This record gives sequence, structure tokens and C-alpha cells, in this order.
Amino acid sequence: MSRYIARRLLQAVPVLFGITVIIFTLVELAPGDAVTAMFVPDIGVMADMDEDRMQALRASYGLDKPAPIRYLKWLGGVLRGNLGKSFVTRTPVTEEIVRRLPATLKLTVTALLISLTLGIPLGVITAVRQYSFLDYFATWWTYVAIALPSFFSAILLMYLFALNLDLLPTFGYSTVTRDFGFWDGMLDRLKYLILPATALGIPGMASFMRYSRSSMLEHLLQDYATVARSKGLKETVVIYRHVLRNALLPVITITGLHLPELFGGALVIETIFGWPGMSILFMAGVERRDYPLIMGIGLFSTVLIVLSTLLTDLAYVVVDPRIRYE
Amino acid sequence: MASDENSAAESIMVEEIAGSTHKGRIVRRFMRNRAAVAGAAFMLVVVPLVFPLAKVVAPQDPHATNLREIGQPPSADHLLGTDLTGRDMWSRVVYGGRVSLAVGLVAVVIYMSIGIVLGSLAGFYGGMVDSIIMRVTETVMSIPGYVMLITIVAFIGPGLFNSMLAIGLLGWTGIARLVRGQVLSVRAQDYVMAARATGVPAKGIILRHVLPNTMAPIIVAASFGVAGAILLEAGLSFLGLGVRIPVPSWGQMINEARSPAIIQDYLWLWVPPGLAITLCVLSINFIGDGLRDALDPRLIRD
Repeated sequence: MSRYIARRLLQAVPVLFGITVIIFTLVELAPGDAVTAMFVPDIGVMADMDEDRMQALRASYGLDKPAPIRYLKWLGGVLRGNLGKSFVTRTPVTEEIVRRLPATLKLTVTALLISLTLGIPLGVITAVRQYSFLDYFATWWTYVAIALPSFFSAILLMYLFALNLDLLPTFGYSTVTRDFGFWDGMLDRLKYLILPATALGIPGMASFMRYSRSSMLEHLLQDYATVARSKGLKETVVIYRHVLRNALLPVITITGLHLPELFGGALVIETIFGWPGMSILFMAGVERRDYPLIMGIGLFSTVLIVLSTLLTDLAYVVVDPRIRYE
Repeated sequence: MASDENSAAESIMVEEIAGSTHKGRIVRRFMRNRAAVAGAAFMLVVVPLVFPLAKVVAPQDPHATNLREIGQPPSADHLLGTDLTGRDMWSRVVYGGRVSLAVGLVAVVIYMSIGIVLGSLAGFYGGMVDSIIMRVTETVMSIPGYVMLITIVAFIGPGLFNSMLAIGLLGWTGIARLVRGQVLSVRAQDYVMAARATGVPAKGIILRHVLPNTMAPIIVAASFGVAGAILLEAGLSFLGLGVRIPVPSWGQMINEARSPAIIQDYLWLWVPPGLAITLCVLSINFIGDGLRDALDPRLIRD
């Protein structure tokens, strides 16, 4: 087991290294740099600048050095946990990310929970009652849910539940104008969380449902299910004690594969609902060509994805005793 | 009983010998899938409508503002109403389809080419070539799609071609892995061995013998890929990083209608483009499902 973990960790090293190269190359290929970006009229910080002062500014950011040297400097910092300072705010990128991370994690984890708790039971029920009305309806729904752009379903939800029925707030993270007690404050923040998390969870829900349905159908026909039935067990026992456990194990892997999409989707959803997560930071960085910030967020989110995929792989090994990676 | 079965089997065989070619069987299996046929029919209407016939079905200029007709609800003059600068929404949806569908198609052509080349090189040569290409593939795969997409577009600049390129640079990993797997299994077949033995060069073997035999799953992946690329382009335009105003794309149009006041009172500004994206993606996915079932030789039930 520990040898398997060590091997998987070692395999992640070239991937992580490759990501630093890809991100750095992308930034290098870009026309213009942070200093020229300051002159874009509507976001310009400094209106009048001559060539000499621009060179001086480049030197102060270390932009005058050749690319490989800047890459090595950056990589050296990254390895020590230092992602550099934002060109715009001059605060350490790590600090900015850590400040924004909790909101994004809260949103993505809630969305994942919504898609798992709705998707898996629906998939199991529709498999058990194959060809029922519910099955047809739910199968159609998965097709639609996968085709719906997340921002469109987000706006539909906002239109219905926030603007017309007035049940939930439209924007933001919490009501800032009033001071609630502890419990009411929790409830207040929960209300703000529901719409964005549902919108973000819809595609995942559809794919978990689709997956668990087909996995259940496959396992219901396997020999061990037939054996259980011929022992005289009731069908409910066969389904829920025997088949369910085996059929749902691979859902762990599907969850791992779903994570990058979930994190990317959060970027879109956060901008719609004004959610104070990494998206605002990222989009602002993109607009101002804040290289250290963009590189930092790209790197950080990828490391997060690589590590959580690793975790789901390990969880699978722990849960399924048939798998031995020695 | 037994003789019944025999005669049934015989009649099937006779039918196969008499009329059905391989292509005919594929077409028949596709036609049996009602959702796939509906999807194909829908796209066969939409594609001519937004490309060559746009001027005919939407005679009004999608860019012409008219301050006397601002934010009008759907009417006989303006089938889908007008936006807040008086532009005709029906024309905008029709012309927006050009951008959305074109980006989807071209992006997939770009990433299919990258994926097929890298995948077949990795599968055919194996060894070092294979492990380098596959490590690069894994690396690109683990970067969250939108993060990479936004980064690429932010640096090469927004625009029609750049959206296509960015989605193309992102999407090839799945195809590369698929093609590699297919090539690995085909490479071991006797006919490839025979071609090698007769001295056919590697390029010839890949192009003539290996790739044609891996086409079926590639076509299926491409059709799902178009749907995915349309969704990605829509997301990118929605974030304001896609095609620049005034060329409307469906995602861009929803982006322009994002404020709560518009969402609540001007439904015709955001529902039609949203539905257009959803229906196109749905249809293309149905076509993909139909193709997968029709092309999979293991599912032959004729």
C-alpha cells in the first residue's frame, strides 16, 4: 500500500513540473507584458510614461531578464511555496489565493455533495425500475442537464427562485447590512449558497446518475446477483445489500474525473452570483495581465486537482479489497 | 422448434447477402434511433438556416440599432423582440448561430488533427515517443479546462479565431488517448504485420492501414466534441473573453443580458440564445449516441 502511494506521488512529479512549463510558456508567448498592459486606457494605472521609465519599471519587476532565468527564479520560489507578488496589488499571490480559497471550496464541495446525493439515488432507482416512467423521465433529464450551459441554468434558477418567487437572494455571499445571531447567520449564508451550488451541481448530477444507472444495470445481471437470488434472498436484499455496494464503488473514480470540470465551472458560476471566490481574483488578474497571479492560480488549481485525483485513486484502493497494487 | 430457428437464421443470412452493404447496415441502425434522427433533422434545419440562408430568414441587420424600438417584446415585426439598443433579436440569434457553430466545428477539426497525429505517433512507435507524448497528455488533462482556456485567451487575445485555437489546444487529449489505444490494438493485427513485412514505410502503414480501422470511435468522439466545444465557446463568450462585440455569439448575448433587471423583465434577450445553445448541444449529443450505436460492430443486431 505505502509503496503504491509512493509510486503515485512520484508519478505526479513530472505532471506538476510539466504544468509549470506549460503555464510559463503561455505567459511568455503573450504579446505585451504587465508594463504595457498598464497603458490600456480603461485600466491604466499610469497615464504618462516614457520608454526609460518603462524600462526601469520592467527592471523593478525583474522583467528585463531572459525567459529561462525568470522561469528558474519563479520555479525556485514555487518550490519554497512562494508564488511571487501580484504586480498590481504588490501582495504575495499565496496570500491572495488563501484569502479567496474558502469561498470557492465551500461552493464546489456543496455542489459536489448536491450532485452525489441526488444523482446516485436517482441512478439506482431508475436502474431498479428500468423502463418505468421515472426512468424515461430521468434519462431525458440527464440529456438536457448535460446540454444546458451552466450559466444558462444559473440564470434560469436566479429568474425563478430569486427574482420571481423571491425565496432566495440573487447575489453575494451573505447579508452584510444586518447582524444576525450565530444560527440565523448560518441560515442566511446557506440561503446565499443554494442557487450557485445547485447550478454548479447540475451537470455532475446528470453524469453521476447516468453512471450509477448503467453500473447498477450491469451488476444486476452478474453471477453473484443470480446466486444471491437463487439462495432465496428477497430482491430488495439482493439489490441493496449485494449489488449496490459493488456497483457504486467506481463512482469514486468518476468523482475524481469530475473534479477539474467542477473547479472550472465554479469560475463561471461565481461571476454570475458575485461569489467572492477565486474567480474574481482570476478574472481581474487576466484583465490586468498580472502574470504572477495568473501563474499562481493556474498552478495552485492544478496542484489541487492532481492531489484530489490522487486521493480518489487511493480511496478506491482502500474501499475495494479486490484491488492490490503491490 | 429447431427448424424454425434455422429458417429464421437462414432468412437473415439471405437478407444480408441479397441487399445489405456495410454502409446500409450502419444507416439502418442509425435510423432506428429516434432521438438521433430527431437530432440530425434539427441540425439539418439549423445549419442551412444560420449559414447560407441567414439573409433570407433574418432580413433585418443584426447590428443596426434603432433607438425608437428599444427593448420591445416579441411581435410580428420583431419575432423575438428587440434588445436595449433596438437591434432585432431574431437576426441576432440567427447570426449568433454562425459564430457558435463555426467555433464548435473548427475547434474540433483543430483538436482532432492534434489528437490524431500525437495519438498515432505514440501508439505506433511506442517506447520513448509514447511515454513523452502520454506524459504531456496527462499534464494538459489535469489542468482545469476553463483555467487553461481563460489563460490562453487572455494571452493570445479574444476573438473568433483565437477562441477556436484555444479550445483546439485544450481538447486534443481525449482524442490522443483514444487514437493511441486504437492504434495499439490495430498494430498487433496480422494485416499490419503483413504490410510491414512487405516493406511499407511507417507513414504509409499509419495512414493506409491503421487509421481507417480506427475511424469509428474517432467519428463518435468528434461529434460529442462539437457539442462540448459549443458549450466551451458559450462559456468563454459569457465571461466576456470570446468573440468581440458587435459580432454576436449566443454566449455573448446572454452575457449582455446578465443584470437582474434584464433577467426579470426582458426574457426574450436571454432565453432564445440559451435555448439555441441547449437544443444544438442536445441534438449533436443525440447524433453522437446514434453514431456510436450504429458504428459499434459489437452491437450488430440486424
